[in-house]
Amino acid sequence: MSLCKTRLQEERKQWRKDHPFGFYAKPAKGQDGSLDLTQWTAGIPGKAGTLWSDAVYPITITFPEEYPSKPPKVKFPANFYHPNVYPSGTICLSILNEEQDWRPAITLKQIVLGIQELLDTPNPDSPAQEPAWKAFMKDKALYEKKVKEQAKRYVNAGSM
Amino acid sequence: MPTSSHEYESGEELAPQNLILPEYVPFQKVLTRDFESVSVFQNYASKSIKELIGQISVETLKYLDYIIANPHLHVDESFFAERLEALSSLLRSEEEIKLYKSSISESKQSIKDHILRDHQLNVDTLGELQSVYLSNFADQISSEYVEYRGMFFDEDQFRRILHSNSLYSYIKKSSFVVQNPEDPIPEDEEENDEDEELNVSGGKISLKDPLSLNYFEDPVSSSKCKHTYDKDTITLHLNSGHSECPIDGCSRSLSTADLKEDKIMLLRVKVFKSREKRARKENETTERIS
Repeated sequence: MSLCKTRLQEERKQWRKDHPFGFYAKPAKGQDGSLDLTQWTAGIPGKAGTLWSDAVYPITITFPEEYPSKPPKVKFPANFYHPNVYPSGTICLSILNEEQDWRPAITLKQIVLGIQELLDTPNPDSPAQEPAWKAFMKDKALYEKKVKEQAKRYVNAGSM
Repeated sequence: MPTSSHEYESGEELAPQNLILPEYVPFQKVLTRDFESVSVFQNYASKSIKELIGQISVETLKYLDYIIANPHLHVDESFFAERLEALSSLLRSEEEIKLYKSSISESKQSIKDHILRDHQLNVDTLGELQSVYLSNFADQISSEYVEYRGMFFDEDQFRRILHSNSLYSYIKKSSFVVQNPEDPIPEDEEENDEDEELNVSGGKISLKDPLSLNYFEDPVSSSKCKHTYDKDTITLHLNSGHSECPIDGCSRSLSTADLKEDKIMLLRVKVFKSREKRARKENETTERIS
């Protein structure tokens, strides 16, 4: 079995045994009902006491054949409102970048926790979209309003 | 020196008055070959030391296998202590033989010089030699050795030799690991290993490969950062164009040349798995009874 498959099976086993509160993550089901371990959907709960709270934000995680030497690609839905998320939904985070801080030892749990952390602490030095970044830098009131509106759309999204 | 019957007849001066052997006896040329054979003894001694060390290694591995196969048995720590002590003495002898060899080869050289220069002891040279005050070769050899040993045998250096001996450190570590497969080995004051960055999670040592997250099968460690990986997965990673340690937070570079078999990690996994298996069996038994 390939390293990618072995690792993903073990990631799944570990996630089922123990995962952080409020999160979910599961491999996609193929048309014939079998699991596709390289495609996952997951939910990131906003931290309590932040603009992002009371909602669970859906992401998709795609693992390349070279995983874990190469990082998975993680996306929010297209047009997700966050300074470090590209219009396509791709997340700009150093631990998900092979050229930057990605290391094969980083687990799924660390990834989702890292994304949760990113929600309320955007990195102003790596803008990925214009609307959220501009508002975050110049118009905090607009930014907060937009984030809260978005949170409303994802309320209960993960309670399944 | 041939002495003819003719000389005996000439009376008074026939033999020296003083027949006492001189303090200093020149080395007999005929003994040269015996002296050469000293090296045969050295080789024999070195060989038997190696054999004894091999025996210690075999015994230790056998005992460890036995403990692994019988995880419920009490581990006899004195077994390890005794092996370590014996190994330490053998290694000490090995070092001493090395010094002895160097000292002997120096003595040999000086004897060669003397043979060329000295007269052999016979009736004619007796009188002359009686007035020479030099130490004899046997004494010279032993005093040279004592001097050599004092000059070169350094206890600190021996301790370093001891701790860098792979069998010695394996026995030492295995005696702990076989009882505590998931715990970090307590720091030894004698070995102040620079920066020990171990693969610790919650105070425990991870027995799983950081790449596959499966238990180690063929663990190898980096000599640069002391992290451990499975040989197959790390090789795959390094061959895919990566040259850094796969552990997050570790910035050391890594190449296949830095990887060394990690026997202690392998022992940890074996002990751990055997204990788990036994625990499972015990659970099954209690379930069946209740």
